[in-house]
Amino acid sequence: MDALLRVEGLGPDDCGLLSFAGSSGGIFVERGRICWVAARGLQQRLSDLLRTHGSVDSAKLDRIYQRCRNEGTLLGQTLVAEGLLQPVELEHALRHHSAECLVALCRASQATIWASHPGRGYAPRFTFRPLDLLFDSVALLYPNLRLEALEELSAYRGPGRHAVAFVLDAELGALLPLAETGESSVESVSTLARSLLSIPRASHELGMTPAFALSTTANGDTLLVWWRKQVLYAMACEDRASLIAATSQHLACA
Amino acid sequence: MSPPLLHLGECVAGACAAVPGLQEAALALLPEGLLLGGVGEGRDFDREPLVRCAARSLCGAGVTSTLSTRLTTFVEHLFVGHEQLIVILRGVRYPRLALALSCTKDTNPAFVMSSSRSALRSLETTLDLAAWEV
Repeated sequence: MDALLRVEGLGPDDCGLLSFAGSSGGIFVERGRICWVAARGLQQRLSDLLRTHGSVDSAKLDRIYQRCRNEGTLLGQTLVAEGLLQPVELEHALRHHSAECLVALCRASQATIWASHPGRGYAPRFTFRPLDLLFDSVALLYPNLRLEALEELSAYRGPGRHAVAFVLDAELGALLPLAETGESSVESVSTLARSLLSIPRASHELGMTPAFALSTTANGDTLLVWWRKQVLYAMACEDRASLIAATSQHLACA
Repeated sequence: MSPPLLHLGECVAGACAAVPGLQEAALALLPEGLLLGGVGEGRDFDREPLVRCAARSLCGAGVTSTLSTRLTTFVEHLFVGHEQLIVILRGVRYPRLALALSCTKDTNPAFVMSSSRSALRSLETTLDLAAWEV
C-alpha cells in the first residue's frame, strides 16, 4: 500500500522506476500510471500469462522477445501490433502479472527508492491506476468475493454515487479494498478503510449485525454502509435525493 | 462535587421522552465511555453495550468520505437492525458527550434521528457538566 501511495504522490509528468530494497523488484511508472510491476522469481510468469491469454506459442514468443530486445521495442505492444494478442488480452495479462508481483513484493515491509528514467512510450491503455492494481491484488486473495462485490455495486451505480467494497480480513484486522464505483484514489480508499473499521466493531458491541447503517461526518457527508457476508460496502452520494433512494432500497429489505 | 447520577438519569429520561419507540438511552462521556446517566429497562450496567458502541463508533480514526479526501470524524450513526434502531450522536456543543439510544424497529428512522438530535441539544443546554470537566 505504501508503494502505491508513493506512486500516487508522483507528479503528472514523472517517469521512472520505484525499486524495492534488496533488488526484490520494482514498479515502472509513466505519467502517474503503472506500466508494469516486476518481482524476483516471477519473470517467467508473464510469458506464461501471455501464452495463456493469447494464441502465441513459446517458440514464437521467444523469437519476438529477442527481436524486441534488440530493437528496444515493447514486447506486449508488438504482440498486439502483429495480431498475436488482442488488446484486451494483453491488458488482462499485464494487470494480472502486476498484481501477482505486488502481492509478492508486499509480503514484507520494504523501503522503496525512486529513480527517474526517460519514458518508454507505453500506450495509456496498457498502463494502470495504482488503485486498480490495489483492487486486483486484493482480488487475487478473494476472487469470489470480488465478483460478488462488483455485482452488488452495479445495482447502486448512478450519477454522483461513489461506492467502495471492502473485505474484512480477520487475520490482518483490516478492511481491504475490493472494488469501487466512481473515481477514488489509494489514499482516500485507505483512509476510508481505517475509519470504517470502527463501524463493524461498534455493531459487534451491540451483539448484532445491522442490516445497514447511515454514518455522518462532521463536514456533513453521510455514508450508507451495509454488509454482505465478509464484504462491507460504503457509499456516498453527491445529492440527498440519491442517498434517500439508496437508503429506501435497504430499508425495504431490513 | 460531581452531579448526582440519579439526577442525570432523570434529565436523560425527560429529554428523550419525545423519541418515538424509545427502549433505552444512555448519556456517556468520550473517549472513556463513562456512563453519566440513562433511561430504560434494567440497570445502568445493561446500558453498557450502547455506551461501548458509542465509544467505538465516535472515537475511531479520522474519516474521509468517498467524495472528498478532507479528514474529519464521524458525528452520527444510525444502525438499522432487524429488531431495533440504534442512534449514536456526538455532542455539538460538547464533543466529549455522546447520546446513544435504542428504539423499536417499527418507528420512522427520520423521526427518531430528529427527535434524538433535539434530545441531545436539550441536554447540552440544560445540564451543568462542569463537574465532569466537559
